[in-house]
Amino acid sequence: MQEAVAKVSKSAKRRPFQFNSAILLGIPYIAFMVIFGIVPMILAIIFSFSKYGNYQPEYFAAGLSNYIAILTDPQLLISFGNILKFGAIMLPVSFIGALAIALILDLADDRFGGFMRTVYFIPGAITLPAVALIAIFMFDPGISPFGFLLKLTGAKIAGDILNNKTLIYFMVLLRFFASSGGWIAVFYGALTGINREVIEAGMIDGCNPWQMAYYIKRPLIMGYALFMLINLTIQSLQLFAEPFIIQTSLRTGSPIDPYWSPNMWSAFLTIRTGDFGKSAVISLIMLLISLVAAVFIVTRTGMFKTDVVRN
Amino acid sequence: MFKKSVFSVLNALIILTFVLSACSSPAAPQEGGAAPADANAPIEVWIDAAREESAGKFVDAYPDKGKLVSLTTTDYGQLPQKILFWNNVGSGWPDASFGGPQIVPLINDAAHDYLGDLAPYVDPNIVKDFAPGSLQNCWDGTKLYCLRNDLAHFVLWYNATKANELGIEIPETYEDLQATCASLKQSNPEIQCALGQQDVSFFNILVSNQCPFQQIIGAGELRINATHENCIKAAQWLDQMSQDGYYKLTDMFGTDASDIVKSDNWLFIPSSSWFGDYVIKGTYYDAADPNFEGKIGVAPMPKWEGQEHPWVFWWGGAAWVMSRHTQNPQLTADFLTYMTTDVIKEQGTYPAYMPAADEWLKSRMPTLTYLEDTTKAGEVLKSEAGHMWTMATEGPVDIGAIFGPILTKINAGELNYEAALAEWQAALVDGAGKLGYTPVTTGLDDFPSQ
Repeated sequence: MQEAVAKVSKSAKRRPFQFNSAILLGIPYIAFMVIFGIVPMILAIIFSFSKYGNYQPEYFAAGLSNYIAILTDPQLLISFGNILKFGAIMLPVSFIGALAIALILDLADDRFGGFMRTVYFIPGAITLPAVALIAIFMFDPGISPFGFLLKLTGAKIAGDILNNKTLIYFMVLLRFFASSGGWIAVFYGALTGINREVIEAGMIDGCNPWQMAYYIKRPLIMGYALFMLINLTIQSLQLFAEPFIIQTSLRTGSPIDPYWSPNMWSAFLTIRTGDFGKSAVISLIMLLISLVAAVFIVTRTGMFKTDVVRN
Repeated sequence: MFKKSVFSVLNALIILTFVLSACSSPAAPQEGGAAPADANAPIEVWIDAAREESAGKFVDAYPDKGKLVSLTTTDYGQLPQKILFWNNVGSGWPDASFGGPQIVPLINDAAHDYLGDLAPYVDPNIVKDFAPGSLQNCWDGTKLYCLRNDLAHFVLWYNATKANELGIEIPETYEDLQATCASLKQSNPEIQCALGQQDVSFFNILVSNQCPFQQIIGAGELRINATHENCIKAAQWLDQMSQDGYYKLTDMFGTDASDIVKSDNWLFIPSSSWFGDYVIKGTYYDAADPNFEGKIGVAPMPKWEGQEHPWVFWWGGAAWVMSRHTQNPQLTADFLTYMTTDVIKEQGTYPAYMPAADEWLKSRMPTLTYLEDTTKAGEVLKSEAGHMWTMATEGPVDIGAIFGPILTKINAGELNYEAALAEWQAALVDGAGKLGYTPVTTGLDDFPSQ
């Protein structure tokens, strides 16, 4: 038995590189990842050491001045503090919400379940800025089709509904309904992939549907759920669409300023001053945090643990 | 083997990026002056959809010059950031563009380095005939960086039929306005004495008392002093009026305001010169309604006791700018002059060029049958065009966007207008810092002696 394993592992090491269909399918993705992911990252690093502000950029002329300027700017803590507040509410709500809805819908394995799954998915098919604009329209008592309901709360203008106190909850609501549909669809795929024997064994042992969902199905799809957690963390770090739409469409009625989130601050610096150097530094800070979060979740939660151990 | 090839690909990419960046070395920055002039070079002008028809008339009026002019209809609000991108590649700037009122302060810095001096190419007699103060923020020393298209100065729109019915005299001072509203509240509590757009009404009241919340005081220098005593006095008045319910500050384009106006229970709407034609007529009242005829009056905005005349804010008022990269500055300047002095007479808003404004008033006022007295209205619009206190607001810092979160707090009851000034001051100074300015926070500058 030991010998067979040793033989398998040896041949695995000596296995020559084979160009197969998997690599072929992967090439477009790798090409796009390089062009739109890796190259911009390298350019951002170059820009962060470059000086801007005079008509044309001077590459590698800034030394560490951009880094010092951003790291000592009070706006850094303010902007990251804002998205921390957003993430602190959005992550648990989306994580538990999407998982719970997926598990509950799985109980209704009929046309109603399929229909509801589609209903949840539809907002995710609309681009996020459009969803944000529609939401602002919906919550303006003067123009919303549900204005009569909003006016019952005493609200007369959009600012009565959307203000500093309600802002985070408004954005969490927006984000949840816009994005959870996609994750529910992913979980549906994961749930249908669960071995029927395990489900039947559970039923024989006397599990009711809730116990089945919580004790049996949930752990088996946890790998996907943790993948969703990484995505949600990165999304909340990069939060841009909703606050940007809120700020630019409400302007003097906006509860937030143009640099509320780090991504907005970075965009502000780029658009208003053309200082690609400083905005690159902000982007790299966000990248670093995202990488650390992703590595933490992958290594600490064992999400890539499988039943089969390969050498 | 696979790992190795991935790394070597990445290495190659890194080297390639360094090589490319070295190749795109900065072009020699052009020293101040314009590109060499060529009287036959074509020009490109950025306009918006509303200017398409009138800009086309230049081609009809001057066929020879006109064929060199190409017009691009686009979102001119993108100009400042597009300039930054074009600077990176060294080409692409339009020779001229239509722009918002703050276009010059927004792009008059080293990073943009776009504006071309119009002074050598426009007849000084034409320049001096623009309304007083309207070119204040076009001038940078002796350089003229823009021509003002139109004005949107504040006037006092009022419900003339209601005022006559109640025997109310139109107040001439803010103190009188307060007294009028107080007595109206006693006699006719159902009538809203004054209503206005929340943010611009606040800016207007500050400007009326010469509050220096953003002033350009030199090349690359700003003053931000929103806690000056002039500002505090104005804000206190507004707090009192708002608290007592005399001056309702709300969204004038929403049902909150239109319900009040449509019920005919209103008296004064201090607002811009275009407000009557475009909002009172149309949004609030149906132009075809016979009851709307002769309903609306126009008066000068009130002044403060002790002032010679009112000072007013302006809600709009576009400008045209020329690029320093243009190869045909004379043609560009001629086009801009034509747009601001000739064809502007037929446009929908009050021209900044005074002779054109006279003709605009002559032809347009008699058609505005909803006005109680079209002659008087014309005189008011003309006299108030010279009363814009343009020593504040048109600067690089976006006062509206920065005021947003503070206005939200005012509406939530956390702040009043007077307390908001200190917070707004801090936010404006922070906003100026983000753009690279270190503003002066004391004092006040009035118009330089002309």
